[in-house]
Amino acid sequence: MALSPGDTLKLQDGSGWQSVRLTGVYQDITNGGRTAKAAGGLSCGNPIWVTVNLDAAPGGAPEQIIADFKTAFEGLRAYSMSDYSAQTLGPTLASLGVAVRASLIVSTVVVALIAALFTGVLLTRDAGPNAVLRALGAPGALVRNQYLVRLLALLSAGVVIGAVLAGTAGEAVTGALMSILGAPRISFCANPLISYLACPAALILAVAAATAAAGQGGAKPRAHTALRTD
Amino acid sequence: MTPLLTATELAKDYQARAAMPVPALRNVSLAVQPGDCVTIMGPSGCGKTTLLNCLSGLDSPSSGTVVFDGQELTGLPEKTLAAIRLRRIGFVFQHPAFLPALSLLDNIVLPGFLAGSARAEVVARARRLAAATGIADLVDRNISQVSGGQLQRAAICRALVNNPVIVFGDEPTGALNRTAAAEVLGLLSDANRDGATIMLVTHDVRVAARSRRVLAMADGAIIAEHRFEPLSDSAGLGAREKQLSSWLPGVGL
Ligand SMILES: Nc1ncnc2c1ncn2[C@@H]1O[C@H](COP(=O)(O)OP(=O)(O)O)[C@@H](O)[C@H]1O
Ligand SMILES: [Mg+2]
Repeated sequence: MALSPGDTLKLQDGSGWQSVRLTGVYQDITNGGRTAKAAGGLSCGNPIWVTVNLDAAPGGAPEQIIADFKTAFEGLRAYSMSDYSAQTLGPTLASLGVAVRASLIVSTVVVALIAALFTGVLLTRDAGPNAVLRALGAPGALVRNQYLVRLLALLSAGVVIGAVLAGTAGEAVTGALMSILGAPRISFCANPLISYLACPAALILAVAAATAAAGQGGAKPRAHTALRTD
Repeated sequence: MTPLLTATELAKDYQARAAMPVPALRNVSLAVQPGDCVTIMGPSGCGKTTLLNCLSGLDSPSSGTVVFDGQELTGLPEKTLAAIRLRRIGFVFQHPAFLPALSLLDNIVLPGFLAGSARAEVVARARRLAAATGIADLVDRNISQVSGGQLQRAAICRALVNNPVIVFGDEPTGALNRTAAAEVLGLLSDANRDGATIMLVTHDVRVAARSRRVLAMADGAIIAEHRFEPLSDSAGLGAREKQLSSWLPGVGL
């Protein structure tokens, strides 16, 4: 559909050809394509339905307004915006929500696993120096915390880079992927509390727990055993 | 005088494989007075390293007790043992054990750093010790750039840097030539004269001759002890070495 808002479209109705001006082009996942919408103009006598969007005045109570409309006009269907979008895009929204939650959980688990493995590798590599530290009487916490500090620094860098990339290239990349599903233009509505607080916090907790658990085992062998080479 | 270190009926079995414990120490009892200088001699594998590890809180005996400076080490949590090792005990390991990422000087300074001492103060002490062992010019090198003997001297500096009450040395001169060994022993003698108690494992009668007591070990047990008369003009180090050389075969070593 090589049309954009402002273009004129010729439509045929009961009384002949009419010109209408496009006011918007919308992606429509439910139809796997797009729908053009025009405002006013069409005198087709008996449209199947007309959708009217209303903004409630600040402080207005949407539930009350809906109830008022329903009593004032017979046959009118009035919904709050959230009900409306649930009705038109319900299953899509729900599966998108599941996908987002699943990817959150999976990425947190994967990050924790990688942190544990990485700590294990570092502990093996540093077995000698760590045995020296412990034999000299370095507190066990100091030996373990080296890895906590290192991995959390790495994670922080990753979170910052990830957040910046998601904020810049993220929409374009996701849009390119989702265009396969018929949703070529995705815009992120990030909840800063979730994106910049809850998610990083979950990752930090996961990495800290995994590193601590892996470090616990590595710090166990008695100090002197790794000092022996004979 | 109450002993600084007392071991009572120490036994240690290594559990190399579950079914076959290796008895490394059997019924070892000893007492070391503050300021004493003791050497342990015995064939390889007789349990000398194991004994030092148990006495210094690096390892725990299977049974028996170790009392260090009035405090029973056996049964203390590793955290407490680590703090005691760090602040009150110096240890020269049988094999050079250094942090490869640090310079020689930083390796020597490390126990002071871990104990939270002021850096300038520890560095000054480390440099003094390094000068006394003849490695002052090498301290800025990486540990891969110095010889084994130089490393062992650095190990002694590190063992002394926190002014320990007692210094354990597991064959500290084993890797050294005669001059280097003499320098290292001189440093330990100085520490001993300043009040530190010294306990060394050695195969060298020249090293043992500088101590006050020699414990002979075999098969995980102390089988004999020799106490030297104080050094005098008539009985110098040479005479002690001769004494030891004839005493050792007599006890079976
Ligand atoms: N970690 C260990 N596991 C099992 N056996 C060990 C271990 N360390 C030492 N042993 C054994 O204990 C005995 C005493 O060892 P060690 O104290 O190192 O002797 P030394 O220092 O006198 O050469 C030896 O038979 C040795 O093989
Ligand atoms: Mg040994």
